[in-house]
Amino acid sequence: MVPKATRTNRERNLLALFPAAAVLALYFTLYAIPKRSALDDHSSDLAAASLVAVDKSVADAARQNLDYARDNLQRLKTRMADDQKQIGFISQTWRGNESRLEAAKEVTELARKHDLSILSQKFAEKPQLSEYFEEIIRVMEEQTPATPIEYWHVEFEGGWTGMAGFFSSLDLKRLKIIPLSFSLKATELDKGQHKWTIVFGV
Amino acid sequence: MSRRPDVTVILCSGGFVMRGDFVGKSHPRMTNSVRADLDPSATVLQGFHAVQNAKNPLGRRLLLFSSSLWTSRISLPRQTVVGLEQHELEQALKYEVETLAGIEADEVILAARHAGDDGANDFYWITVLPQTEWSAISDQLIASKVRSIGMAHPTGVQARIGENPTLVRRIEFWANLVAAFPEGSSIPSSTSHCAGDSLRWMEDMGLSQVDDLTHTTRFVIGPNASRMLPDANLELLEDEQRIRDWLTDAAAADLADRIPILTTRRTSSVPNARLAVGVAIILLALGACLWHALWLNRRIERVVDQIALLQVPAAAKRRYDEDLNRITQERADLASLAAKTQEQVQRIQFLFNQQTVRFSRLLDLLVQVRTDDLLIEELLPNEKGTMISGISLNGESAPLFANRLRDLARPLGWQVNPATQIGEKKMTSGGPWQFKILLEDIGPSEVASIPASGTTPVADEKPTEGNAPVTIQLAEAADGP
Repeated sequence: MVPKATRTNRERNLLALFPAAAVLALYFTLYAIPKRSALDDHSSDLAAASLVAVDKSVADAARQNLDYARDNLQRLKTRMADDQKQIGFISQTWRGNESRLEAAKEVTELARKHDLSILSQKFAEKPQLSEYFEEIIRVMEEQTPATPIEYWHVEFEGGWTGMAGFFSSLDLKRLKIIPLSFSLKATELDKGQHKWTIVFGV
Repeated sequence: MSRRPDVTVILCSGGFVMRGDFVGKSHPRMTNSVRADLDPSATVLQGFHAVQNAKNPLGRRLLLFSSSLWTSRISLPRQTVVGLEQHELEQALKYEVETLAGIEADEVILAARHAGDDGANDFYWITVLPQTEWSAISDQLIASKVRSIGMAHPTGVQARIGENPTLVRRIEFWANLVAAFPEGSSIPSSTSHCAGDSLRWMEDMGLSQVDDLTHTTRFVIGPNASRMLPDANLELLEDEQRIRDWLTDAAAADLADRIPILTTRRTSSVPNARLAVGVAIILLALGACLWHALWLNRRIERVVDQIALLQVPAAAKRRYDEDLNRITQERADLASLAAKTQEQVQRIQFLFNQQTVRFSRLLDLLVQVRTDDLLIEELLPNEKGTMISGISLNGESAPLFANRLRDLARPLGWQVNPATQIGEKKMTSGGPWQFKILLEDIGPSEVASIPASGTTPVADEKPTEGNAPVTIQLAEAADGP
């Protein structure tokens, strides 16, 4: 190390600059360079953001579309809820145990009126139904899970037109029964007497 | 711990060096003294080191007198100095020193005092010291927290000789210098660097013989010089008490106006200025750093703000689009379910509104559309709907029957499938035929509108030969197909 006594003015001047140089070096090392790096990173982010940037009007249009879609969805949900309510209402209001006897009397009366003889009647298991009716029955029973639909099998004997008239005269709103299927078995063709089986849902 | 002295005076000449520490400024009182032997050829720095004692700190002001400094009275032609600035005059004197003492002008520091003139020349009393020695000593003294430094040749310091020293002509005889002071003057009238040769210095001073001097002049003689003038009126600076008095006079005197003395005032401004410049540069650097940091932060903030401005609509649109996709998907999922629910409602309504009517109308249609060669034996429900089965005497009757029934049964919620038939081959034509026609339950159609009762329009399609008429009144129809 050079002794102090031999330092020249030039060395002294340079030494006087040393603290300032140290300050600058520390500043750039500890602060400026990391900050500059951060600035470069932000600039890259800005460039990337510029590439995917959209105008505010576009965002507003997207928001309007979203609002329309929400309204549309809400209307659909409302409509669907209304349909569900209607299904539930119909499924629960068409039935009633108190009217079974009335229904039996009405059916008997109508049969007599249309020259039909009731051969038998019973509550039995669900008959053969088409898939179409199976689906309707399932939907309706979903609305009244505690009281599943019962099936009333009634066997008639009578003519073709009598049966047609019987169906025409059946007032479902009053009787609270619904014919789900009917079958025909021709017996005495010459007399026009056939065996009919109607399965009512009750 | 002892009190730090106000002034330290060091005299370094011949074969000794002595240091005295003084307290008090107007009437200094010596508190400490140190004396050491010294090689007569020792430099100023070596003399200083000999009495620099760390246990006894140096005074705040230090006066160092050494006969090793070069001092002289020199003359410059008046015409050459007229109008010169102080630094120009100093430089001119340094060139004279270079000529007289052989020390390069750029390597010395110099103190000068105007010493009169003779009309044509100006005289200057100067003291010089090599720059390196000055720097070495001053650095050490500054490091020792000595605030003020003065260095000079001891010539002219001792003004008190006898009762009235200023009225006595005196010659000061130092190891390497002889200086003559006129009566009443503190400025040498002549100097000679030939102290070891009496003839030479007397010649330099214009003196004829020593005897004259001894009777008219008092001498202040430096150490070990008595041998040069054994019979003169001497005041020898040899015993310790006399040196103490000399040091005390030097501590009390205002020497700056009397002798050329090298002080730190001039040179200390250099480190002070350097310090000030250094501090200024540091402040500038700090200011620049602060400005740069603020600028950098502002730029970063601006970029971040711009990113935020760009990202807000993009992020909002992305969020809206995602929500829209989700809602669209949800709606698509819900739409099929809603359509199915609606269809279920329609089917249930159709069931309750049309079930009896459709059964009744179906029976009517079967009667109306049937031909005489076709006999319906059974109507049986199956997993698709209702299966019509019977016998046909004509191979074309059953297909025609199914065909005519198709459009009429559609509003009633049935789709009529083509007839299937098997010939029993009991007749020459292959008949009779067992046929089956499936009426598939499909529910209500958009065109479903079932007439309440009465006649049903039937297509004009003619049945095969021998078949029944196309339109049949229900009341008139035979009771049974």
